[in-house]
Amino acid sequence: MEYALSGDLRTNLMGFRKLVHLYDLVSQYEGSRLKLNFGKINFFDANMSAVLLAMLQKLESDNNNKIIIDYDQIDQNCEVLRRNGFVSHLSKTTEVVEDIRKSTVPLKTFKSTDADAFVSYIENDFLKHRGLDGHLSESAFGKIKDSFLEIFCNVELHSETNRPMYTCGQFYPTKQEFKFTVVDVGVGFLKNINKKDRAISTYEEAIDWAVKGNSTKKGTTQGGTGLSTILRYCRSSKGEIHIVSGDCYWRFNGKEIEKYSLNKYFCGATVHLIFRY
Amino acid sequence: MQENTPSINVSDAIGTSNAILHSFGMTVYDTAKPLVQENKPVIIDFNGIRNLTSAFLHASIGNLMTVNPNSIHLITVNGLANPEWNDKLQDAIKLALNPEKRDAIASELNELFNS
Repeated sequence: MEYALSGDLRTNLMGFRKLVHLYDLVSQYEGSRLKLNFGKINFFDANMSAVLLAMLQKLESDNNNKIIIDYDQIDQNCEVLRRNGFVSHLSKTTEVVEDIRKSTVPLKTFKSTDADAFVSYIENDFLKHRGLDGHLSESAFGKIKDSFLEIFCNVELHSETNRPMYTCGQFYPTKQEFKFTVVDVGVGFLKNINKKDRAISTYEEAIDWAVKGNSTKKGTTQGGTGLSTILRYCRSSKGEIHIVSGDCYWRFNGKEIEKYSLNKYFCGATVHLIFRY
Repeated sequence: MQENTPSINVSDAIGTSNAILHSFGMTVYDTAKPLVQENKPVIIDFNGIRNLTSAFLHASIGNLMTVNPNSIHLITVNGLANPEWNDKLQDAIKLALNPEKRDAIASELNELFNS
């Protein structure tokens, strides 16, 4: 089968819906060959490649589907996906990628045990990227770092998957915008939260619950305030945080919270953080 | 605290300066738990730690607080390099000893959420 991604693929509801539509369709097949066409792509937010890679690797491992890509189409229409390492990951090559424009935070995968590598990535590749240099106070640097470390812990504890966490970012110097995405393909927000509070029965309610600073840590332990801290930062800086889990696209747009239906489901959880100056 | 009180260096116990994972916290908990159960004092030493999460503190110190009614007097924490870490530690202890505290935190966050 062949599937064409087309138009703009941005860090928003429509962009996510396009990827979920692809995932939903292909996941109905097993042992198939999927030719993924990038020839009609007009624009691709590099950080969204974390979502796409997570989906494609899950389709390959869970459904034994073979993904075939014409990399020339990527070079012609969205070469940023070569610069950020997406092509290397998908083609399983050891190609050393250098982003000569230094506009991307490289696409990486981290197992739940890769604590030291994840810390180094957050401290150096993400928060010391030229796109954030001079824009974060020491306090904001520490709080954002701690928040992502808490999110990493939550994936270790709650995702119930051996698959890695996917991370990627992109800086737009002209627009003075910086986008960063983390993705896990575990069980998502609802399952564990519903166990904790039976009254919470939708993904929308579960995301609301998690953003309020609650956590489903095992045993008697609590904690995990990463999302509420990021929301607090976004409120003070007019940044955005988007959270996607199940069929819910939850977004703080810099002023208020919006919630949308994806119309389809995707496993795990995705968090986008958008900085604006 | 006596001079010969056993000390557990967190960095040595977990093999990294990043005390961020719940499983790392459980390693410290498992190491210190027998001492606390026997009503013996123990020092949890954070010297050498660069990064610390609340998840780690809840798993380690928070859980240790529930092992023995006398835990708060048996456990000494030192080497916290960052004042905010001390706040996280206090939260972990309060939550472990007084779960109702969680309601107050939830209320505070509700205000943030609805503002």
